[in-house]
Amino acid sequence: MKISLTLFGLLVGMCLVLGYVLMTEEPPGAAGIPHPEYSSMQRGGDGVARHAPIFVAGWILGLLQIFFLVGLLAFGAAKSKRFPFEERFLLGGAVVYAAFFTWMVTSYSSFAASPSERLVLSFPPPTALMLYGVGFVPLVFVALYVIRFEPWIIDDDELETFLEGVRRAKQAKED
Amino acid sequence: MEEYRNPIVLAFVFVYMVICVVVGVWALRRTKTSRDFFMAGRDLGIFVTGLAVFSSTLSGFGFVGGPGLVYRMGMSSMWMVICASIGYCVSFYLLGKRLRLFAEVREPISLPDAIAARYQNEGTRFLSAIAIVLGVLGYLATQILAMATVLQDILTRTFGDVSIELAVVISCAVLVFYCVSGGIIASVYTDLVQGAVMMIAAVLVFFAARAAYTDGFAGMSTTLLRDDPEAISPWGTLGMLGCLSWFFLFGIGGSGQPHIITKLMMNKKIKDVKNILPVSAVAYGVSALLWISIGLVMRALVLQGSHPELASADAAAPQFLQSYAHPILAGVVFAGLFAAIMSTADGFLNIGAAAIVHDIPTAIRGYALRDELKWARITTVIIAVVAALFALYTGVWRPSPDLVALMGAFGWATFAAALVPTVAIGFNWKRATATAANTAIVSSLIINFGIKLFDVSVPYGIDGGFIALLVSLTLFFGISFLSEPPKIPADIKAAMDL
Repeated sequence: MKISLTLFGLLVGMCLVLGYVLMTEEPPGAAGIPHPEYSSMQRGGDGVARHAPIFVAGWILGLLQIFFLVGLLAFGAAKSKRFPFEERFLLGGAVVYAAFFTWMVTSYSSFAASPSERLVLSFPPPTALMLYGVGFVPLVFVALYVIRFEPWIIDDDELETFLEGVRRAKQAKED
Repeated sequence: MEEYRNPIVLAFVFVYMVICVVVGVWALRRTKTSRDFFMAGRDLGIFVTGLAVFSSTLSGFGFVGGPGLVYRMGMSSMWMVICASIGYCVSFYLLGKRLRLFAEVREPISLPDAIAARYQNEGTRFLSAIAIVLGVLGYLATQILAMATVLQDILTRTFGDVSIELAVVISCAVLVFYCVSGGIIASVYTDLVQGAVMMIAAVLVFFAARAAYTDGFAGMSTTLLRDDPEAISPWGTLGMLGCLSWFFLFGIGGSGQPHIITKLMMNKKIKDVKNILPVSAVAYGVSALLWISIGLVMRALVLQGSHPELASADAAAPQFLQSYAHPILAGVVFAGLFAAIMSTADGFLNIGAAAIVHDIPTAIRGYALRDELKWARITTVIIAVVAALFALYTGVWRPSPDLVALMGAFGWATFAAALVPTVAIGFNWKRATATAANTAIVSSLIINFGIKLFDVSVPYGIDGGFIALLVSLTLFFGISFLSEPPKIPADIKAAMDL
């Protein structure tokens, strides 16, 4: 399937989730409530209650976003010639990225139901998963870009042919 | 040394500003044409471009508004930070090579120049230039407000009551001087200094914040947890959907920020983008430490009763530096704050001037102004003055506890929703049409400004910019699929095929 069509499908999916969310009845304080003692701060309140109507929708929205973002990487790198290793790497990376996000969401679900003071690397487990998991997984795509730049992103021979064409066109224009 | 805190801070800020002025004078000699003024002669190396890209991304919004958001909402705004790793990838995969190839073929001096070449449509150039001017005014006003807020705090501690207007005048004067004299050359070379200062400042602040609280970050987390577990959860106080809307908006939005992506046309060698990506991503990651550490420590200190409540969330960074950082560190970080703000603001001045002097006249009359360089310099001053007035006036008109952060998010969203489909997608997709691009730009501006001007409250804390971006992207794909494939000039097609 064409990447552009997949991206469009993911966008439509996000629109549907957004439409569903906007039709649900928003619980009071869903986006935070004023802190009772400090007016410059907000509080979240009851995490289970405020997320109840949209928790699954939010998880699906997050997954669609992740696949769309990684899909954009494939879209930017796409060429007429196939690069099976890089394509599989992107797909695998997207799955790992989505898995970390899902792990974080389920971990948050337990945390919201019964908050504990257990910390992992200075943060509650779901927050640690967000910062060190969801935040760091995309660095593998940075590594892929650097390591496989030639010939995946730019092929030396193709670039030389292209630059030669540009030089010739400019020369012809000047003449 | 404590009694000399304010003079030390002031000295660091003064030295930093002098460096900016000196770079401006140096760059003046290298700026001979409008191409030099807007595109730095396309002669930049890996580190200069990499640090220019990163320091343009992390603005006053990040250094002042970011810690303020963590103080106010807990972990919610971290979604704007953790998306940076995938966000930089999206920008470079989509545009790193492509924009530089366009620059090779058509030698554009602005982003709308490249857009006009791609779509063969002056209407698209005009609309993108209008979107840029609108975004620049809002976003630049944020930077000026952030800069003036910090400077006012410093000057008031040394000289007594200093008005915000005076702080705006002083900070704008330096900014305008080096932007007018040296254009983008001054901008990118000050970015190099500014980027280095920001990274050093962020690392030092991270350790200072950890030391300022018993048991460091674990202690802060425990304090926040006992007050409100949601605040230290991944969604913070804003909630799941608000955070995901930021994740998407800021993750993809970077590839629509003209002050950032324009710099991808300025590197000397096309293949340098391979190394520019890790330089930018690592530099951003290091500097973002400041965002989380100051916000968390200030929230924890106030909750613990060790620090009085802040008057506004935006005061988190200045208050921390004045109260808990060693005077020399405070000096370095305050210079870093100005660096973050100015490095973004100078980019805005430059692209705003290009849109007004080059793109709008070209779109309307079919040719650019005569003596573009002179007009670019005059326009730079005018944009700065208008944005400064906008910053002051907006604050009075609609006071907000976290104005810098809110205006910053709005400015980002304006660019993202208007330009991501047109540039990031359209430059990689031959099927994309001018009609789709024009519709995406217009719809994004209507939704973004409509939600802001009419104060529409979106449920669950969802950012209006996310809706604008989602709608503009969907329309862009949908209309392009329904239209006849456009005819693309051979040279542009060759640049898109590579």
